Amino acid sequence: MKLGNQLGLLALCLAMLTQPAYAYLDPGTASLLLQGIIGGIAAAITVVSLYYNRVKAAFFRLFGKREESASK
Amino acid sequence: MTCLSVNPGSFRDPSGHVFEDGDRIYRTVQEGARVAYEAVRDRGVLDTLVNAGTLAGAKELSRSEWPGDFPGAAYVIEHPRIPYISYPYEWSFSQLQTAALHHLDMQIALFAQDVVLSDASAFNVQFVGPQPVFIDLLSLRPYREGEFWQGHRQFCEQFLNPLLLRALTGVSHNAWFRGRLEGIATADLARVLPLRKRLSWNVYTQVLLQAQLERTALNAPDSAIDKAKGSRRLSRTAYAGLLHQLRSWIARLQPADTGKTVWGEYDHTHTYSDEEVVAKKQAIRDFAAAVRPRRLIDLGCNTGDYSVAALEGGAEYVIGFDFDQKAVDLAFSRAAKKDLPYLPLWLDAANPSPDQGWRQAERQGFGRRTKVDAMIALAFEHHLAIGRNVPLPQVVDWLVSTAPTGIIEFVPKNDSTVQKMLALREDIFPDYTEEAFAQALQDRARIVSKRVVSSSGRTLFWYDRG
Repeated sequence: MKLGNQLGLLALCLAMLTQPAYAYLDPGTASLLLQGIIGGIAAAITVVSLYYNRVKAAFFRLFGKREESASK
Repeated sequence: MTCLSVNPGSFRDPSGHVFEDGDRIYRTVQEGARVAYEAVRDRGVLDTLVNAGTLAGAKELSRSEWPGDFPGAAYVIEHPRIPYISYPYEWSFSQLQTAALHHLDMQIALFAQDVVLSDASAFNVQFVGPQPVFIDLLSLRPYREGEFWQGHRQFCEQFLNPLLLRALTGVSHNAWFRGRLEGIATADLARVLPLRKRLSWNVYTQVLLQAQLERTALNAPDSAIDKAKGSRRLSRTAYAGLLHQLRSWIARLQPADTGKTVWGEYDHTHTYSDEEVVAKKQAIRDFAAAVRPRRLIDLGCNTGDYSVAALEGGAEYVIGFDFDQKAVDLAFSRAAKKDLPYLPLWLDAANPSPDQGWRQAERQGFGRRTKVDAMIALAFEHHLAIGRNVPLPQVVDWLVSTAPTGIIEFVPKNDSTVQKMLALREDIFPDYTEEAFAQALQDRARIVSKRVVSSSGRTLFWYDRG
C-alpha cells in the first residue's frame, strides 16, 4: 500500500461523509452509482497507462536505435 | 420419438430457454431476443468465440430440424453436452479465479466489437476438464453507447467477493455461496473484512464504497430517485478501464491461508511406500481398461494420482471430488498443466450438494447430477465410517449407488490413518471390519475381485452391480 494511495483513500473517505443521498431503485443502483464515481478514475488510469506504455516504447525504440548505431 | 424437457434452472431469462432430450441440449431464442441475437451473430462474434473454445458450441437448426414445437421461438440452437455440470460452490479458489478471468477476458474481447454481456452469473461458466467455457450465448447483446456495466453487481457477488473472502480472510467461499446462490453480498463481505485489509484502493472502492453506497441508497428518500436516474453516462474508456482493472486485480489474488498452490511445486506425502502406490495405480489402470468408462468419478481424489491412473487406463473423462481445498486446487492445476480431461471438485461427501434454488430444482444436487459409468473411492470410506460416524453398511450403500461398477478401498482398523483418527476418541466401531464391509458389499453387488495393496491390509474391492 503506497502512501499516495492511502492519502487518496482518506480523501475519498472524507468525501463520502458529505455524499448526497441517492435514491434506490434496486440493489444494483449502488453498483451504477459506484461506476459513476470510479469510472472516471478507471478511464484516467487507462489513458495514463496507455501513454506511459507509448512513452516507454518510444524510449526503447530510441534506445534500441542508439545501440544499433553504436554497434555500426 | 423425442422426450424434451425444459431445464429447471433455465427460467430467469425470458430471451430463451434450455431443453434437454437425452444427451442433446437445445436452446431457444425467443422472438423478443431475435434482434439482439441476430446483431451479435451477424458480426461473426459467436463463430469466433466458439472456434476459440471460449463459448460452448452452438449450431443453429433449420426449422425442419427442430426437435419439437417451441412456441414463441425465433431460433433453436443445439449445444454439445458439457460432460459434467458443476457449480461455483463446488469450485476451488483457482477454479473460481479461472472462471472470473474467463468472464472478464470474454467481456474485454467482446467490448472491442461493441458487444457486452447482459449479466455476470458464475453459473454461466462451466468447465470441460480444466478449460472454462461460457455456456449462455443469450447473455451477449450489442453495446449501447454510454451504458453502465449492467452485470457489475452480479460479478462482484458471484466472482469477486467469494475470491476476496479467501484472499483477504483465508475463509473459502464454498459453504457461504452454497447457502446463498446469488453469491456473497458486498455489504456482508464489507462487514467481515479485517481493518488492515481495508487499506487498499481496490478493496475500498469495490467493496467498502459500494457497500456504503448501498446503505446510502437504502436510506434515501423517494424524491432522490430522479437523481439516480440522472443522465450519468459511463464512457467507453471507463467501461473498458473497469474491466481491465478488475482483471489485473483478480489475476494477482491468491488464498490467504495456503498461498498459490501449483502442481509441480508440490511435494507428495504418502502414508505408504511407493511400491504400494504403484500397485494401486496399476489396479486402477486395469479396472479402467476393463470397463472403459465414458465418465468415472474419483471420490476422495486428493491431488488426482488415481484419477490420472484411470485416464491412463482408458477412462474418457474423470470427475474427482475432495474435501480438501488445497488438494482440489492442486488437482486442478495438474489437469490444466497437462491438459487432462479431468475435473476435480470440492465435496463434503457427508453433506453433498443438494437440490436447491427455485422449487429446489434450479441447481441439481450431487445425486441427481452424477450419472456415471464407474467410480473409484480409495482411502475414502473410513473418513465417512470412522470420521463422520456413518454406519459401514450405509457408507457401502451410498458408494455403490453412485455407479454400476467401481473400486472401493477398505482401510482396516489397524492402519495408521484409522489409528490416528481413533487416537483421541473412544472406539465405538466394533462392527468396522473387513468381513462386515465385504458382506455389505456382497448384499448390494457382485465382488469381481479383491486385491490387498498394503502391509497393513488395505484392500481394493472391485464390485459390479450388473
